[in-house]
Amino acid sequence: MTDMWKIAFRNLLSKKTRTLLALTGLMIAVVGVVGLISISDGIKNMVNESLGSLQGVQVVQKDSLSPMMSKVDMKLVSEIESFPEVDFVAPRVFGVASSIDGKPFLSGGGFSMGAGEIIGIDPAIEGSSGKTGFTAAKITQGRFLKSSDAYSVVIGKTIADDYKKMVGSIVEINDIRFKVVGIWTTGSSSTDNTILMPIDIARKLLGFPSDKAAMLTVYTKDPAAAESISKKIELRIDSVDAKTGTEYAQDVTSVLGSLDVFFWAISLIAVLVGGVGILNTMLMSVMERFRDFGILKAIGWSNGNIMTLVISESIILGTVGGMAGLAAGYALVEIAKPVLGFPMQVTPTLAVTAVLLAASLGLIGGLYPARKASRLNPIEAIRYG
Amino acid sequence: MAKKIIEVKDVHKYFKLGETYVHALRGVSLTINEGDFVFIIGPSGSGKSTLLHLLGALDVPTKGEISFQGNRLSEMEEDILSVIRRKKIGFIFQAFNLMQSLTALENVTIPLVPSSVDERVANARAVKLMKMLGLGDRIYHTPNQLSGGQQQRVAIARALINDPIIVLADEPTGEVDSVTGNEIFSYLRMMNKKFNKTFVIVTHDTEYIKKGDLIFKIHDGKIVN
Repeated sequence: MTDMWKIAFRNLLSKKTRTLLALTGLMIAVVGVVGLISISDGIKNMVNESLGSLQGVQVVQKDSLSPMMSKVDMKLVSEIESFPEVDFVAPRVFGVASSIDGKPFLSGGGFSMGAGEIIGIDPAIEGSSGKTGFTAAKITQGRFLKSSDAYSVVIGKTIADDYKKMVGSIVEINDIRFKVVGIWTTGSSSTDNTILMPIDIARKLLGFPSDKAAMLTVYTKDPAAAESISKKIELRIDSVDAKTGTEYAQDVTSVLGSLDVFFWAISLIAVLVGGVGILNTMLMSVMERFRDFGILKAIGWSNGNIMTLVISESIILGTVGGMAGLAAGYALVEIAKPVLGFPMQVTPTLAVTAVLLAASLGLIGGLYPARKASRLNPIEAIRYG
Repeated sequence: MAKKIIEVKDVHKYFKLGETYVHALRGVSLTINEGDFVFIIGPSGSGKSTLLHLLGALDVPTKGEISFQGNRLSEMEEDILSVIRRKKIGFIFQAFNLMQSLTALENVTIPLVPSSVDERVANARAVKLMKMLGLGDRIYHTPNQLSGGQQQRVAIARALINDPIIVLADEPTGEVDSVTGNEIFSYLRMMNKKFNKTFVIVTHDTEYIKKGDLIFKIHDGKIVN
């Protein structure tokens, strides 16, 4: 016996162009979904990995929108260090280099990839001679900052590549000359555009008040105490917000949640267009085959058998289109990732969702045409086909 | 005495054609027994195809009664009627009406798909039938690779695959030349003789009629002989 699926496949293959067109339409929709959601998943993943792994408690000015806009009084350092659980406090300042080697941050109206984020740290605390280092980073050339450094910088690999710098090179940041003492990498090209320099120099360069820091990172003696100390700081000091890396990650993830809704909404439109495409294809294909369905009914196929055949065809369309779209979307994401320097990730959940979505689209898009085919009057269908 | 397969009693059929009603059948009564080789003849528009559709449970009469093996068709649901069509009736159409995307073999076995007959059993039965009909070397051809006569023989095999009690043919030679037409009739008669299958054939080609055949001449919706 030739089974229903086999007949459905044959029917689809017999109209190759139309089947391919329908598949392409659906594929594009699925590629859109995979692309958009992979961006959102990638960002979430990056946030969780990078923020979640942050050590210590980050203390910033209360209600500041970003650490870059925050100013915290340096007097708080000693106040926080007086808490028994606290080991030490590391102040940092942040800013963006307005020019590197005379090239402005925004050059020719576009974004210059090499433009760097400046992080000012206290080498006595965070430098190679200090109590901690930047754990996420790895020095690939030269060394980390030390207490005796002044106009010295450690630059990210992206900047080193873009501006062709090596250890010993001179780099002009906001028209001030610095000596490159080290090059570091975080392993991700998008976060390798940072410039580390001593905090005093960073304050001068960025016009930051000398008695302030953008953020205080509080290290506890017992890492497990981070969460309780962050609550304690917020309770005792009114002017600041204190958060652990995990709390930051949760905050950012919840903001990204609304981004997710937006991405899914756009995806839904793409998917609807794909669904209308299937409906249209199946309707046309059913109308062309009125005579065939009439014959099938005459030789004993029931209405249900005919519905099953048409729906099988449209589920095959949906599933194949979904799988092709997933493959194309995955390939595109893999190609785009290094080029855009953007975190994108096709998670197994996304892959399964995309294919299931396309298959159900096939099912739904096939229902009406299937009903139409099954309700045909066989005599009229055979006579007028 | 031969077994009664179909009994038609005073059947009328009206069609609505736009605003007017067409009285296609006006009180037809007839009986078809097992093993009969029946011709329904008459000019076009006389109602012979309408009668065939009623015999094949594809349509229901407006008035009157048709019994199939003693069961009244008018009392059956569409699902039951489709089972009767699948298991007891074979259809042959004028325009062959094969599915173009399927091979000859698949076209022959397609009535078995809803019955979930095992593929090997179905294929073996189909190949045997096709060989009997001289299609042994055309099993995997698609309809567009077959001549009109060969396509009609595939359609005959399809009509017989379910081992029906009765085969209904609507102008089976309407689209082939007379040589092929004779060939098709010789196959139909062979099946009638060999397996005692009942055939009801609608045609206006009286040249195929032989002595001993049962003939219903129809004119203006009535049987006139």
